Amino acid sequence: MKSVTYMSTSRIAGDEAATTAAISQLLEGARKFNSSSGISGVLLFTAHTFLQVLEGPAAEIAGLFERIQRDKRHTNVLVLDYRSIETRDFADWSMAYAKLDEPPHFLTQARSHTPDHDKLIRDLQQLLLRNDSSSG
Amino acid sequence: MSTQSQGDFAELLPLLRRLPAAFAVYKCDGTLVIESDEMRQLRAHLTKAQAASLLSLAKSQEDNLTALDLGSLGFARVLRHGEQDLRLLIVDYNSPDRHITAFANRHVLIEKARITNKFAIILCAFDRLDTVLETFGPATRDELRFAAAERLADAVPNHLIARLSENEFALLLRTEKNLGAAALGTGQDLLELMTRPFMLRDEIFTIGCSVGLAVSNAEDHDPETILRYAALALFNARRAGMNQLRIFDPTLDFYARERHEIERDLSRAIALGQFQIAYQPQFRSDDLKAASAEALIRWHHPIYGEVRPGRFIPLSEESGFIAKIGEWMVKQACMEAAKWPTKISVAINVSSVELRNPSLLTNLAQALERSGLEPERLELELTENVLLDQGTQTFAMLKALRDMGVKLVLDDFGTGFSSLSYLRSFRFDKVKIDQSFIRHMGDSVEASAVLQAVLGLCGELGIPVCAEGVETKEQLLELQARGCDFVQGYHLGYPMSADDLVKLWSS
Repeated sequence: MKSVTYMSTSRIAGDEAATTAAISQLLEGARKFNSSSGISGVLLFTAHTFLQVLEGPAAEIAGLFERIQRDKRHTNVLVLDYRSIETRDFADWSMAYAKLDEPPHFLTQARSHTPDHDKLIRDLQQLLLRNDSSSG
Repeated sequence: MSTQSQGDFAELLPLLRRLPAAFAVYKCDGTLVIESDEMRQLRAHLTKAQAASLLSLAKSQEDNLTALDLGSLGFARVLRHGEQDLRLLIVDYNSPDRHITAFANRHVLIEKARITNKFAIILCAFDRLDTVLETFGPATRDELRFAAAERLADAVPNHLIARLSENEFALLLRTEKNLGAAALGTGQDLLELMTRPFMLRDEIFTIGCSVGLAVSNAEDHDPETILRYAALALFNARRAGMNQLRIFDPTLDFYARERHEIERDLSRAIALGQFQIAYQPQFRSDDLKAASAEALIRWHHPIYGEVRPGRFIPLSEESGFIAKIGEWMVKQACMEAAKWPTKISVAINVSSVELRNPSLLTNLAQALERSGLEPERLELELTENVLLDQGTQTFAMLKALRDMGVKLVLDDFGTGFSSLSYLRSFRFDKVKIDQSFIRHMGDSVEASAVLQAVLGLCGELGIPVCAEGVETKEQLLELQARGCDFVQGYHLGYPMSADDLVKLWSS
């Protein structure tokens, strides 16, 4: 199995309602696809920035990653981590979602300093446990 | 290419030379017409069986694209070229079952553009694949290239894409409204999309991408022209650095742009070591022993290749840069000549602009001193127009040069405003008669008469004469018979590097 973590800048335009609608549409598509392809992961959205972790079989991850690269709803993609894994960090979620008004510390620095991967995963997991909106 | 019915094969050559693939052209009977350097190298590595298969592929009557697998050397394909029945053999690394080759070719792009009133061409080139090749090998490089081509095709499903070379793609945009804005938007999107990461097996890759675009208009709508414009824009994008987009600027055409670039690059050419000197030997006509060598400047431009002096000297005269070039020439030529095993002279051309510059004297003195070249081995070739301006300044300069001990040669004599009386106005050490008289001395009474007059007068004054542009044995015999002292020309020796010149003498 593979795990990939990337961040990108949202290109979704419009007010908050429009953004929320666009993101729930995005999530719906992702969850449907992921559960049928054995992919799990998390999507964090804050201050126009996406942070996503995807984990699953190598071929499926590669296919999905390329699909995401061709998506025009975001730009400025930066891969923070890509590795082989034995166990999943987000096994329970086909695509957990967390929305934050204030970007967390590990994200604001990520473009200049590649964050420690294990710490980033732990932060995300804690965030999901605290965050009521996470589901999937 | 097989569908191309008109046009000379020669037109294809520039395109072929841009192919990253090795290529060769055969006649239908299997005789080789032309082959690229890469093909020559590649053929040296073929087994006998592979070489035989390659030849039978080239002679094949079938008009299909069956590829011949040459193992690690790649795949060979044959394309038949129109009515002349020439076969173009291409060897590259693309496996035939990869649909990367399913892109349209340049010909299709041009033809589609030709039937469209308004169109834009967007050129998209992938960069940095070589780094991938160095680090991960050709298989990964090809896989990445394939992934990039697929992403590109997917990004613009409604537009025609032609593959011009391994890493270069051309997009044809045929929207009716706001073509320029649409092309710019598409180009920017592509640039952004192609520079996003790629995931291949265990690695994440990013490639560089450059985009150049050009839009047709009422005056310019020839597809070849627009494609050329787009290529210029791409060239500028690449020059600007990684991941840039440039639009062709229609106010400058190709030559203006080239001129602009040559002018700009000229000022850095010395520092970058792009100038070299070629030496054309001059011989005594009686025993054909080497007497001197004329230093001729050569400029190897990184993009335009060998730029003719006829192109950059006038530009450097306009900008005043000629002084720097002249200074470099004098230093370099003196240094090289001082190392020659035989004590023959070196001749340098001095323009009238340089002659008016007092620093010429200091430059010469410095060059002679530093190189240790004896002054009498340095010949300065001056064209006769320096004598047009018969002011005291010119004569003072000529006299100062004479006092340094260098030799003064009157160059290109007989052209322009020449008058035999010039020969009396200043005592030159040698006169070079212009090559046009040598070329025509056999068929023009006039040329023959001028030659005879110059030889006669110089003989009386005791000034040796050199004939330039001797290209045939007949000309040489004639000049020997007429008592011309020195000869120079292709029949006797082409301009060559200092090393080759030394070899020529030692052989």
